[in-house]
Amino acid sequence: MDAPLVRMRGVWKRYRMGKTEVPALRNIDLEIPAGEFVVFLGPSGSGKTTLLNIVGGLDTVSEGEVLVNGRVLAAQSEAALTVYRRETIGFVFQFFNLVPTLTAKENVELVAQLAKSPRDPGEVLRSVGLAGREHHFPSAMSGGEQQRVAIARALVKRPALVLADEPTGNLDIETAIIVLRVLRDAQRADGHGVLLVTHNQDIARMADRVVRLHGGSLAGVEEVAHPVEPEELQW
Amino acid sequence: MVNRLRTKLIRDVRAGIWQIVAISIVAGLGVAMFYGLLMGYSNQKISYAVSYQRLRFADVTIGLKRAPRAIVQRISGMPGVIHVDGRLVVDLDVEQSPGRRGRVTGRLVTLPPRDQPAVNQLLVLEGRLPIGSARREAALESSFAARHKYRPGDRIFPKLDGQRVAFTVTGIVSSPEYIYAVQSKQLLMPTPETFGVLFVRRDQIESLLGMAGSVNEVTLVTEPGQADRIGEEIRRRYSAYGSQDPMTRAEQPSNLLLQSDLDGYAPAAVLMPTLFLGTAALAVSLVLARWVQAQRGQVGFLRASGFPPSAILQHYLELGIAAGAGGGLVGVGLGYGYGLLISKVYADLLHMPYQIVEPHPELAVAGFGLSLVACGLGALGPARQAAAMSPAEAMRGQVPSSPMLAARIPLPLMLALPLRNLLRRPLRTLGTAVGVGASTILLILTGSMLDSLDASLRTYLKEVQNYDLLVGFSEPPADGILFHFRRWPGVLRVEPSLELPVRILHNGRSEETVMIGVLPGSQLRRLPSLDTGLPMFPLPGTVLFTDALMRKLNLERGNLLNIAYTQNTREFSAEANLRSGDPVHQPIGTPIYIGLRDLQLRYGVPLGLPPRGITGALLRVEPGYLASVRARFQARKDVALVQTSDELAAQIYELTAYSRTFMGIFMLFGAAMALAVTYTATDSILWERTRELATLRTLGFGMGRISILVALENMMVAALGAAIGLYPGIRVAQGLMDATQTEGFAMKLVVSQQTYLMALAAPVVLVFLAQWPGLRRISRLDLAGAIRLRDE
Ligand SMILES: Nc1ncnc2c1ncn2[C@@H]1O[C@H](COP(=O)(O)OP(=O)(O)O)[C@@H](O)[C@H]1O
Ligand SMILES: [Mg+2]
Repeated sequence: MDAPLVRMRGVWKRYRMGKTEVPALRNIDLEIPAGEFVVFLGPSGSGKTTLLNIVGGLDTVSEGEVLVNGRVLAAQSEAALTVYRRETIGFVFQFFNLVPTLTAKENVELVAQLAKSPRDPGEVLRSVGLAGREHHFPSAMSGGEQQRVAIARALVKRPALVLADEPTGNLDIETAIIVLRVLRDAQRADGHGVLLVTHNQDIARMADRVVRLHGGSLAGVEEVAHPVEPEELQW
Repeated sequence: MVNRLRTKLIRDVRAGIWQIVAISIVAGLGVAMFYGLLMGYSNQKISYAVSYQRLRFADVTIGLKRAPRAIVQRISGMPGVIHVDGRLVVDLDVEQSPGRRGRVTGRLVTLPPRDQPAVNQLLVLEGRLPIGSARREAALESSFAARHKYRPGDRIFPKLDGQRVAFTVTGIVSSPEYIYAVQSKQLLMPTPETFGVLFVRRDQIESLLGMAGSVNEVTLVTEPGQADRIGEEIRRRYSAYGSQDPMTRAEQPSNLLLQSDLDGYAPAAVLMPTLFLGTAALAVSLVLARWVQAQRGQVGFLRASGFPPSAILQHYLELGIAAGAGGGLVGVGLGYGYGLLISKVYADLLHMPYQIVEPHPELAVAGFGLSLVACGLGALGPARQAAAMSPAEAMRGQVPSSPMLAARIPLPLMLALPLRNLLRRPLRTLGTAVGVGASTILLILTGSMLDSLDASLRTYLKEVQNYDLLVGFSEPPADGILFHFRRWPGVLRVEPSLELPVRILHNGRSEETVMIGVLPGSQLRRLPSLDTGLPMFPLPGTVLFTDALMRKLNLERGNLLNIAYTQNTREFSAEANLRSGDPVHQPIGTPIYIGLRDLQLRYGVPLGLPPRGITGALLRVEPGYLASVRARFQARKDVALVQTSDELAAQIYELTAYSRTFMGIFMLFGAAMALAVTYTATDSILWERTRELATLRTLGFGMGRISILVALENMMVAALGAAIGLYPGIRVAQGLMDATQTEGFAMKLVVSQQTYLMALAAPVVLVFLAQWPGLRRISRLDLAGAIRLRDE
């Protein structure tokens, strides 16, 4: 087997809250192979976002070792992390975080301008089902459409890993399914990995692999033998 | 590919255009001040230099009692002398044709028979020079000619040796010596109503003056830096001809006033742009801080996607620069107009021979640059904050807000809500208040300058010079003449006046001024104490100075000074050592005061005057009789000068019109800044609150109630700002006043109640204007959409 895309060894993350230290992650050991659709599952406050942010180079570990694509993240300077994020990671957030003064296409172009060999923004938008909406501003789009723009924005720079933090947390089920379908299709088509954070048990059924978190600790990792298609999900 | 961060910048600017415009206006006003004032300054400076150079303004002038004209030839051979002219200069009575003011003091200055003089040449504004004709002709200095409406062909009648001699006016001229047509250094102000300069051919009057073949003044243009040495040498060499102290340009009265005009620019040219650009920087910083706050999520995303902190920094700096560039454009345009206006007002006030008006593009560029720098600096804080945001934090959303003090104070909701909003972000509230405070400073500053000007004139005209009519004698009048005037119908009171030109020596400094003898218990001339405002009287052996002169000479009360008559000769001379007393509050002019008896005995008698000799009289006249009394004096042979207090007032008001225009413009700029600053503050609060206010509306709050809530909050900030600006405003006004103090015009700071009221009320009133567009937007808001919006 190839080297895993993500490898964590004895990872601790502690946050300072005044005088006390709150551990958000406790001694995580984890390996994720390349090209999989992985769901991080756990109740609110279990450390999912913290874990994702560490993999994405938005946050650093307090203790332990993280390798992504063979790179040691802990040793990286902020400037190097910026380059790492630019070249390796595509983020999708719960609240879309689109630039409201840019159109859908311009939002995608904004990120494309960072990449060495970006995909064509118009083509990416079409691939997420937004043909014809390129010149709309976010305020004129539904939540699902806005989230698909956000996904297009993550995909345009050909990342090795797409990180999505509760991407459907703000959406109704029909819309959520469309968004999940887009993520799944892109992953299959391009072969990049997807790490998707959710507290929604049901979404785990579409994953190749499920990582369970509880109270900052790893509560189990399981490979899913037969992932279902997003359309079969219900909650 | 197009830089989409730039696209975002442009869209952001477009979305917040009115805030940017408001900031640009503030910065632009600062640039306009900078550019306009410095342009005016530079043009004035160049105009002086060009006028002086083209017309060969004398570097040094030496008065003589009487010398043969041959000395001109001899002086021209001295090393360092470039041009030299010998001439006659005499002051005498001049009668005017009916319809004009009866009698004035004329200064006859002779010209060579056929040509311009070698020094102090004239610029002909109208007509021609009085040369090359056999008739008696004169050219008139322009400010006198304008005041008395002379045209070529009119006639004027100097009294030469007691004889009224008719001269035909050939032209109106301006002279580098009389750009400010000042009669003497003792009276440092132009008095075109009563004093005029006539340029005449020497061959037509020298024998009438009994001065054939003689000169009583030489004027020189010298090599640079040689004027002092050459002047001194001429004085020494020709002392047998009664040579007097040389007068260099630095002491020349007209030049002295011009230079003090120039000096008056510097404080305003520094202070005003600083105030405006500082406020612009503050406004940029406040507005941008709100934008960055509102765009936390976007910043977080940009950083997460791999935009480096430097890109974020640059992005927000560019927003500041955009405002700065707007300010630069507004400022350069406005400043150009302002500079032209200054030059025009100045040109109207004076008769500058060559008024140069150049745009000085380097100043425009510098002003533009200043605007960029100020707004860039203002943007730096928020931009750095944005760049330093940790992306994970930024996307976590809510900003932690400090616990609310006001939450515990029991207040009606309509008061508690705005108060809490203000206390939730204390620094920002303070920043906004400081911005408003800056306008308060400006309003207090300009208001108090105008107040002080008015108060000074009032003090001078109603307290110091408390007479209705001032009379100056051309020759020592007969004893007891004042009793004669007292019996004229309408004359209520007559007081004697003795004034002598003197030179004060103190600690190696010398200063020429006029010493005035004061009658004990005088009702027509009072000397208010600087400290108490109560009238003072100089004790025997004591001289009272104005505070401006005391400062200039570095005097303290009790200093011993040597004071000598300026025209001491071997036959008649007078000087004495006298002590300085308490300072007199006299805003205009710098005479010194001594007891009338003291002056008569210590100076008058040694100079050959009778023991009760006087040079003039002050009168109180019943209003209905003023004209007739004035006419009676004017008809007298022994009277050289008659001036009513109204005429004096008119002269002073004319002289201060320039300052008033300046202050008026500053005040206008200040009001504009107040409006712009309150607009940026209130409008960005309203943007930030859009969701909150929309929510209130969905809860059934009417627009009226919401307006009151918002207005209360903004008014609290405005009131706080006004309070913050009050004291610095007074200090800045004091500072500016000290910095622009000239010897001839020394004001005391006065702040009227109206000014206080205006400075305090203006921001509060402006708040209502400023919040109007924002409130209108909220009243038209699509409520559902507003509540759904998350980011922005
Ligand atoms: N910046 C922070 N400062 C302090 N505590 C934090 C911070 N970020 C997260 N935490 C804490 O760490 C724990 C895990 O948080 P998070 O990873 O956001 O959980 P999840 O995404 O699973 O809901 C929580 O208890 C949370 O309060
Ligand atoms: Mg989370």
